Amino acid sequence: MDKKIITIFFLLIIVLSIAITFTTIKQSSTQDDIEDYGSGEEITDEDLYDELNDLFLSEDDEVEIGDMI
Amino acid sequence: MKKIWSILMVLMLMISISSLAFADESEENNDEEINEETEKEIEIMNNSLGAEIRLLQLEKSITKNLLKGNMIVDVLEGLGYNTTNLIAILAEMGYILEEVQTADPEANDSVEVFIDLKTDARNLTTQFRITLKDLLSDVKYKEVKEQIRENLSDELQNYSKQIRNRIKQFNRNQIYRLYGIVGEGNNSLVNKYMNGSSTMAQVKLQINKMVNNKTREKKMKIFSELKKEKIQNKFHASTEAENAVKNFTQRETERLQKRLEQAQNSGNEKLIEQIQNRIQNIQDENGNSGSGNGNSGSGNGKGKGK
Repeated sequence: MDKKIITIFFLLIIVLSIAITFTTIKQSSTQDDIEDYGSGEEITDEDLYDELNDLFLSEDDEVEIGDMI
Repeated sequence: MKKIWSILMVLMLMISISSLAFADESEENNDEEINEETEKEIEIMNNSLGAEIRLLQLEKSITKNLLKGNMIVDVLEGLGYNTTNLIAILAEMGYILEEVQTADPEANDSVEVFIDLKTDARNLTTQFRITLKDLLSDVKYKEVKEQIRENLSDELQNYSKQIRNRIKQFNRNQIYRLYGIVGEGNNSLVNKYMNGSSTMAQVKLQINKMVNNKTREKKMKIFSELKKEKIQNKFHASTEAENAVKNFTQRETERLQKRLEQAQNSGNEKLIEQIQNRIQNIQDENGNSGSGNGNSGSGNGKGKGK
């Protein structure tokens, strides 16, 4: 009887761990997406040039609606 | 025994909750992925020039597909196939083209109109492709595909010219805004870009050089300003996209009703039947789900593409 209870407890712990790990990974990846430069993080010249390049549209830019064939 | 049962119950409860969380996450990811392209496109629609560019680009894409669709129908008719369904789809696509052409880029709802009509155009394009695949064997489909080449008609070239022109104006405005942030400017560079003697790549290079000569503090300030502007645009686009999703089904039904009237006036029986079926499907879906909200966005190609 005791063995059964211990097995079920272990299963419970495994399920909980999976759920918590998944949530943590998901949250940290979301936070990575939010670029926060307000905390003194170093900005490289590359970051600045990316921002400059993003200002402009490519003259060949198109709105995609898919192909007919 | 009682203890075992209560632990089992807790375990089952935990599994149900975690599976719900997983399902919720995957749904959220799907939404994000679906809307990304359209949200990116509407970021520039916070002014009339940006809205004009997007509507013109949509107009060009629909025209391109209409020309290609007509070429396909011609080829199939030459081979003796029944093209009634394909012609009906092209007729509706023609109505959408008219709606895009009459859309006002300065109107408050221009973003909503863009999202709605882009979704419709994408869905009809997919419907055309599926109908074509049902009509032809795989071998025949490939044969027809090889016969249809990229169309370089005067009409499309004219669209490309207009769009390029507007994009140049948009980029010029961006250069001036950047000059405002940097605190200095180079008018001859703008003039060269506008008259075609300098390319965008050359302009970017010059701007990068100009910014590179600034102090670290100044660079930080420029970066912060650009970032702030970008976040504002993204936020605006995201809000517009969220608003466009609201009442999408209702707006879709209204558009279809309008097109149905046009089809009835032109006497296109197949198109009347197709539109009536779609209206019926929407009503059935609403009846089943009990929700008035539909999907909108970049279109996944099936049904109401989100």
